[in-house]
Amino acid sequence: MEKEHLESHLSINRRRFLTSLGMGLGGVALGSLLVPDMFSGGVDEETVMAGLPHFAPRAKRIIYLFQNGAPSQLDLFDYKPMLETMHGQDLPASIRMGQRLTGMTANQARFPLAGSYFKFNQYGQARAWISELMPHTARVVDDLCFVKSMYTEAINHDPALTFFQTGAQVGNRPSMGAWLSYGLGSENKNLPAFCVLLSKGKGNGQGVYSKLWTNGFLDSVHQGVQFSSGDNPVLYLNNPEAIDKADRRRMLDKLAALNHESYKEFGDPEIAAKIQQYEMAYRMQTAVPEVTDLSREPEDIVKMYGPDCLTPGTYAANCLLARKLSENGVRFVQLYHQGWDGHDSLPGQIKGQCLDTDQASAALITDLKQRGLLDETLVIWGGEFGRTNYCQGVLTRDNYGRDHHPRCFTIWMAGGGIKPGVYGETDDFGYNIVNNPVHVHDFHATVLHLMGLNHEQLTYKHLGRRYRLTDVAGNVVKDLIA
Amino acid sequence: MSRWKSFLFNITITLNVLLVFLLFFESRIAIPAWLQVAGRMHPMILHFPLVLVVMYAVLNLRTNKKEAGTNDQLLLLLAAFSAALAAAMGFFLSREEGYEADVLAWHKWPGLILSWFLLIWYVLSPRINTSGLARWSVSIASLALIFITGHEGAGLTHGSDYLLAPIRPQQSAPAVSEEEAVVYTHLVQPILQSKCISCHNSSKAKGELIMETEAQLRKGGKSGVLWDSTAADLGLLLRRIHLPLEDKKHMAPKGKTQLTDEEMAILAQWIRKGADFNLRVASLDISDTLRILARTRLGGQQNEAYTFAAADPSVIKELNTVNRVVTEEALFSPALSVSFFNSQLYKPQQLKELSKIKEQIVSLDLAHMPVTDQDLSTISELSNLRKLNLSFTTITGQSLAELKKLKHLQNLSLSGTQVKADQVRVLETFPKLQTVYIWNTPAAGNSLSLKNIRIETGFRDDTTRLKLSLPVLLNEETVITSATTLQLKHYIKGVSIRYTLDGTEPDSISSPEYKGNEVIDGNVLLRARAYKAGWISSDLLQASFYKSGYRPDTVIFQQLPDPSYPPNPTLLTDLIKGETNFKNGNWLGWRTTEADLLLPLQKPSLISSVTLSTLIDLGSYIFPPGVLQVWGGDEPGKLRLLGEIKPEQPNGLQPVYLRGYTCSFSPVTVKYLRVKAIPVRKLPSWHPGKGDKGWIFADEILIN
Repeated sequence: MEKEHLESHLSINRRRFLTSLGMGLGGVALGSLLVPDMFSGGVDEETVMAGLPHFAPRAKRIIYLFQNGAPSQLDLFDYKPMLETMHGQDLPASIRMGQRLTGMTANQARFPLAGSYFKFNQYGQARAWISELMPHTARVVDDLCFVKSMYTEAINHDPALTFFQTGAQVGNRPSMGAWLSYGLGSENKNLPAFCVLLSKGKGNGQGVYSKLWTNGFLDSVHQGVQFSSGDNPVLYLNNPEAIDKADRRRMLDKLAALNHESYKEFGDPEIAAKIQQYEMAYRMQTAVPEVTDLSREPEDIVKMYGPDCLTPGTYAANCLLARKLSENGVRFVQLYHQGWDGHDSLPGQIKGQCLDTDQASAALITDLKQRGLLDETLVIWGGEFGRTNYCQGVLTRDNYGRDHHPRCFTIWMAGGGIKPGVYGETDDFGYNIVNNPVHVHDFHATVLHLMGLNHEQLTYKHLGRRYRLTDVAGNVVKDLIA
Repeated sequence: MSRWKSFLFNITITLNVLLVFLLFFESRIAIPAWLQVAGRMHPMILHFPLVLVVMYAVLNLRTNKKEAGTNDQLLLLLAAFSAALAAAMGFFLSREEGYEADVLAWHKWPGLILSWFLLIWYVLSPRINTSGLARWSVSIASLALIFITGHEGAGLTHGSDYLLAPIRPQQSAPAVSEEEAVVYTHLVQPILQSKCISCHNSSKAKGELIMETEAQLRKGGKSGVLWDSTAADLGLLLRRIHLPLEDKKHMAPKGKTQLTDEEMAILAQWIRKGADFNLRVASLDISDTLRILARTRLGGQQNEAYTFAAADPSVIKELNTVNRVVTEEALFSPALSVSFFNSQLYKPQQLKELSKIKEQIVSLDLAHMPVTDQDLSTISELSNLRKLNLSFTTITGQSLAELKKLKHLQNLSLSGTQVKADQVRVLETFPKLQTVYIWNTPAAGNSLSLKNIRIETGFRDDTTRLKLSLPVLLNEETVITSATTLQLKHYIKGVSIRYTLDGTEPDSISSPEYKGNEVIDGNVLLRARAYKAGWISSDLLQASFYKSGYRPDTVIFQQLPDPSYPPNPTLLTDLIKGETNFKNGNWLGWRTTEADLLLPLQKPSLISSVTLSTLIDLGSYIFPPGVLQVWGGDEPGKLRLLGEIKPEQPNGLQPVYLRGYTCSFSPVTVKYLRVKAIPVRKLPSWHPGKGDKGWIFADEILIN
């Protein structure tokens, strides 16, 4: 009786408990029927997802013109007449709002605002402001989307650069290009999916390290391959003297056989990766000379990219090479151009930097467009952060320096499903964002989206958790997408 | 509890657990076709929970608990069951394409929560003493949840503004794709319809203007024609629209619904483009303002839904070779893109093999492949092709008409081929073609225009004159010990390099042209410029070559250089030139002391000149020596002055440069040489550090 009472109170007994439990398990079992490969073990989501876009992509390839050292948005694109009228006056505390500064200006007694030395004009259908330093960019303005409201978390070059490239400030994560190589694979089996080109301007420069194009914890086939400017664009690719192609083939076959043995014994995926890399290098031996040969470019192209574009190692030559690589199916071509770090003598330095880069950047857009490739190639131009509206060091009417400024800066993108125009807005001082902020994670999410990848689904399991390029943040900025 | 009741309860549990599971594995779920059918029953099943939940919630409001008997519980169970069932079906339905994630979330989550909530409440309510307040709360919560779920669900099906649409000002949303839209019919006309026609129709006709048909619009009204696409203000229509609101002539009249900025922009853009009634949106440049406006207006660019079946994965795998890449457009998409790479490996047969997937290919990239006119008939079999890249192929354009069979072709690149203007004209008859690229073809120069097709002719420049880059000096050694071939190069083809070796300015007429076999022997100053027709000549390339005839045994420092630059005796005789960076270890610097160097020669030698190779970096206070003296003799103590020069001092800031100063004298046989260079004692008045001491930097002493 007492038992019955208790049972009725709980309205439950063992039988009913087990029934309910069984029903619950039944629900799970039903659901599991809907998940392919649920119990097949070996196949994890990485292998299921890798190699194909999650949805129809807008862009197939990316060319990222990284302006290393952080170009001054205030002297190029973010026109602030207020700074000219208040030239020399102190930055109001209400604008700075206790923002942390770098060690280079934190001890400055004053923060005098510095108006740009350069003249601005409005161009194109979006009436975008562009300074006189970028006349060629101004000509292609109708293809560009300026994001004036980018912001980042880091305040010094290396962490900021690493953040932009890998989605984290510490340098052990895969780079953007590596993620795309992992997510989409290579288009052309004869070339790496991720290539890196370096150049240097005369302005104050900051280092670029190979950790920026690392594969991180991803398979090492996804690592960026650096093309150098000498006679051998890819180092150690040529056969040594007295070894011909047939010898090389035989050697690789034997080596692959040995590696297969070793793989069977240890099962280390890096061994498989190594075999693939040798094979890729073998194919690159014929593909790379064809791609890197700039001498057959017609004179129109040379004029378009500028007279330096055939001189190896210049930014212009790298832009031209980037087009050729991209045209040949390289997913992600990453350029770095050093020399934008204008802590002092900024007007002089930025003038030189623009002379070196403006024409070729614009030419790349036009060139892709005239071949019918711009709509499937996403071109990105930008640095790792912005520069301050106040002067570092001594301010004169025609000379000033600007320190690092992570709170707002401008980048532009073009092609590949990007909607041309101007997005986002900063305040009259060019110090804070007032409209439509875009975080670096948002930028990553948007770029992946354009490539047909859901940034939340492009994951890789490492050290017990799934990693993403956007880590645990990031929103696709739909307004940027055409 | 009756048997069927407990059965129902168990099913409800199963469904709710299933829902939790589905949520967790949302991204990995693949819905089979039969389940899709179940999913599509969601719109029917959902009415059960709607009614049952409302019924239960209302009955539950009765304060008297005794009245609430088993019937209430039964009702609750039915509500919980139907809610779970509807939620599961809704879940399956949501996996089909076409639901906006943001909107869906507002329907999905309240629905799921309601389902779980009802089940939990069903289990708990008989077991706990529920106060009236608790029961009220449950009722209100259930009602709120069912209302939100229902409303948002209706929004998903009928459009988010469905409910209030009748009482809102009418927005016309033409259901037409961007590709097919006509600017007038789908953008302009709806604006006129909503903002103008109520007063300007055949029965009202204010100002004698009727805006119903094309002819009436062209005719205009009492005040004249409506637009003038050449006028700055684009004519009457826009002038009236832009008048201040208070103005009597302002349109639409004060009090009526005004045009939005976007609508005004559409009208202005359309008129500016000539008010063409047949202008297609797709023929506008992708970055054209009107096209962008149209895209927003027409509801964004939708991904195309393909109706053809997917190809066999094994066929795709088989067709993928080293130089032919076949990829699915995306997961679960039947569309394929094919690209060819590496022209040396290309064979026409590889193109023919694509017939196995001829239905599925939507994009084909043959750029730079040796594709011929005959191959176009193979390509024309690819019935679903949207995008075709034939740039830099070897086609001549004869058989372009073959491609007309491609009913879906939108985008065709012919850049860099030999197609001619009259051959390109045939493209006008292609049904869906939007963009053609003819840059770098014979057709490009003919200012060709095709109806409804955008033509991209690209960059062409015969007029701009650019400055050539510097010639490149390939000789790595500028200190030579014997006659050496001068090696100059320019990266741009067809450039002539003119040079001089005597320090005079090279010009394009009298200076010798570099041929590649020039030999230098001796101390020379090379000056060279690059020239090419159609280009501005380059800046001046300057480089000094130094001949070293004798090398001293060692260098004895009579006075030590500045402590920052350790007195390494081999530095000045190693024939390695320092670069423009004075800190790179190849330079010695003197400031407070004099460069006073004693050079013992291996054997008595006939010497006629000594050159001190220096760096001039005026910004860093590094100047040419004030005085350069050479002494000689047979014993260190008995040297006599052989020669002395006073180098010319610069009279303004200049970029960093290298310069050798040669002191020549009548030939004399000596065993010891002494070279003395005295820094500038007082910097000139134009220099920021005027009056200060100058530096000397030297890297080599060359004896001839």
